[in-house]
Amino acid sequence: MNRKLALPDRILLSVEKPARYTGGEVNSIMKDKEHIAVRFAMCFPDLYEIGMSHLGMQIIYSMLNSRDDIWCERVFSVWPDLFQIMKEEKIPLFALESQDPIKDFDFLGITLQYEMAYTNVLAVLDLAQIPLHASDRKDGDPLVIGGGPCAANPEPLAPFFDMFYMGEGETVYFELLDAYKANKEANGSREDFLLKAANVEGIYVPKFYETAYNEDGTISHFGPKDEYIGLVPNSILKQTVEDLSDTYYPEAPVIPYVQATQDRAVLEVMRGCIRGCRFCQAGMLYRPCRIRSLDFLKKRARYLIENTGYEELSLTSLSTSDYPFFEELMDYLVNEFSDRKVNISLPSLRIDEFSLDVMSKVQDVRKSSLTFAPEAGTQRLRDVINKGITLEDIMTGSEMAFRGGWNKVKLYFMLGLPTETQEDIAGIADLSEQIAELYYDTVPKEERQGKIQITVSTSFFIPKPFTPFQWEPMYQPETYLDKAGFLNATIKEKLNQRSIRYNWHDAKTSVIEGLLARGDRRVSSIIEDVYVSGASFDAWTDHFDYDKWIRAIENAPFGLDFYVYRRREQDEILPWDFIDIGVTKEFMKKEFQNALQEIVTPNCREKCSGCGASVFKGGICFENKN
Amino acid sequence: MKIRIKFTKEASVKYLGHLDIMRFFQRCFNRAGVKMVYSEGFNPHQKMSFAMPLGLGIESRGEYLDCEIADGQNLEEVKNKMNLVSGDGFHILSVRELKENACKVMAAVRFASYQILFDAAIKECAIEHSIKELHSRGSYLVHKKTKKKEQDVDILPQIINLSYQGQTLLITLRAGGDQNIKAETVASVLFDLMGIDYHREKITIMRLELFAEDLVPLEDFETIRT
Repeated sequence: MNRKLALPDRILLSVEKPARYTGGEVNSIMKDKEHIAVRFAMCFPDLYEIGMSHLGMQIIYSMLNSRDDIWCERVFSVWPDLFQIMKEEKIPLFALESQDPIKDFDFLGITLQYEMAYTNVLAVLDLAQIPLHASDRKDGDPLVIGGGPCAANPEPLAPFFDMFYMGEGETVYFELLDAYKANKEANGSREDFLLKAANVEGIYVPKFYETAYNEDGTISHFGPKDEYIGLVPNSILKQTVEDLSDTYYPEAPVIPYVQATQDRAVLEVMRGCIRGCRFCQAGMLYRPCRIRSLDFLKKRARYLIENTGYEELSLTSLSTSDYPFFEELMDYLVNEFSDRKVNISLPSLRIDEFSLDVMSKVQDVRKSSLTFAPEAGTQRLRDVINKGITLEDIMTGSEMAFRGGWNKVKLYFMLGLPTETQEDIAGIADLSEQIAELYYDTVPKEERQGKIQITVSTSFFIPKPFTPFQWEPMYQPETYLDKAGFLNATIKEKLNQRSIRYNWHDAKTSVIEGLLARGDRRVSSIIEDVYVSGASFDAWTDHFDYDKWIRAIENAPFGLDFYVYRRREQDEILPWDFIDIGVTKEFMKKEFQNALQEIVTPNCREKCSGCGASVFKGGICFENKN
Repeated sequence: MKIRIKFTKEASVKYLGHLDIMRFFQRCFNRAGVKMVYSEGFNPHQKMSFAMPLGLGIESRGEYLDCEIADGQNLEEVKNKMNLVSGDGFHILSVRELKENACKVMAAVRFASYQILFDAAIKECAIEHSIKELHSRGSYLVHKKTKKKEQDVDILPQIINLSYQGQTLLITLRAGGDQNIKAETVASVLFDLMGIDYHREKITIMRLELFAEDLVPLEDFETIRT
């Protein structure tokens, strides 16, 4: 099909990597728009290379396009060079496939994967010439729907969206789009449809709800507006796929021409995680942990490789070692693909004898590195955060790996965790030094392939909604930098300091992320002000402008002191309380107490802790019961 | 077996850079089930080399790539299978086996031919006149900048053929090695002679063919006809 591009040569040849905007990739889907009932633009609000690396988007894309009456197309953020030209020339943002303006679509779906993309969300709406506020949109405008993990606290973005989809996309999208079709055929209004949508399980329509506040700024009431009481649900139930072996999987994903950040085939082996790390939002949001069957994965792996021609297949999940048929799956993949030159990459593996054996089969030992994420430097603090990994795990794993020829180790930690002391921070340096010493003790001089290389990275802990630490305060950026400085100095005192590289995240970005993660509806005006002042691509270090954020926050009635640096009361109404993720607030409170008492909670496979996720009738909650 | 593939790069894939095209072919071979010969070593990769890079935004009906595939594969089948799984704009025109000791594809290139279309606002007679003017000159110097040096180059000896018919300019230029001027440079010279400001968007360029010595198209140079 010969597609007419939205942008002329003159513009495309003047911007960086024009192929980001031209579509037409192998496996992208073209349809005849004359025979389409619902046009859906699926947006990842960041650069093409980032968005095209995202599995969720490919799942929704292939799922929606499996229906003849729906055409799902892709749209991404436009890099500032082109953004400026399109604004100046009033060219509306377009979808990659048809190159048609997305303002003419029925739906614009935006996936919210990280908070620092929020200004990009506004940039997308603005460039698309869609009114920023849902309340300003008319019947002909697209319905803007948000989804993804950040939608778990939709309130900071509430005014900009017509709807939010809570949870996993596979469940109610068709129900929602069918309701839209029916409404259109019945000549129903936008309002009519939104009221129907609000009654589709998992769909939140912010305009039907309101918040009242106490004088101190905390929430006194949240619920449906008076006129909608009884017409819309009081709480929104998160959606989960019950059986992950009987659902949509993109067997022929779109293959980007421009190299994506994750340039490989992706096989999701399970969803959710049996480990209840207390800082981890994904670990709670995606409960219960559900696996895909071995048979499902074998088939999908084959299709993926055949349909894409990729020479790398990545197994993904929150903790791949916990996949119960991991050994069988790896045996199969190694056998099936070894003569086809397909590499298997294995992120998020626990290091043990088996995984090392597998890794030495599928990776170049000399080049690959071992990754541990102890998250905290002492056992005490690891117990606080319920990170199951022990010193012994790390040491035994490292020793085996050193004997196997590895000499690169990456260690990930968080600074600023609840109850953290200087001793815990110093523990990170001690642990790194111990690993270095272990290398020299384990590997005889003549067998060493150069020095051991240890890379220590720290991020700053950001309390997220729906975690046992959701009430916790954050520190000021200066305090974070003091912590990083202290760790750096402690590492420098170690014998093997030359073998240890240390880098830390940006503290100011972390604080803003904290604001967006736990904000309420009033934070939307800050986001809008920052966007209007010219901010975008905040997730990109070079583009993040802290001063712009601070100026916008200063003009708001409540700022960082209220949202970020304050310890919230356990009985306070939190902005995201109306969303039901299955896991109960009572469980979070209990887990918070366990954290303070340094009590470890067993993982879901060892023992059920009664978190509440069993309401979803699937996965690990029932694994051992039938 | 070493083979030479002739392909097109048309429509929106003209915005792809060289590395994008390499990745595309690597995966296209895999999807088509073509058995490739891989390099030795820790990171085995397919052996592939392209004849002459094409500027971003230029289409082509005469691109070439040489690669090595496992023996015993039917080349017509390879071509058909690749076309079934290819991307829009990439069409495989021919797949030929290379003779033993054939020289590297990039070293074989001597000439390239292009078709240039002008913006409709530019009058035909003006173009015709500028071509006559260029032909009448004994030399025509343009300033050429490379990474290493800057110098004035006479473009006339580089132009083998230049004709204008039915609003289409056809040119054949020397190519490969040091002898290298861009089709765009010739177009911009014509604009100068017409007294019109040159902008890239006023022309559409399509590469038509790459030739070895004696103007033999690369697909017929040191290849075995079946």
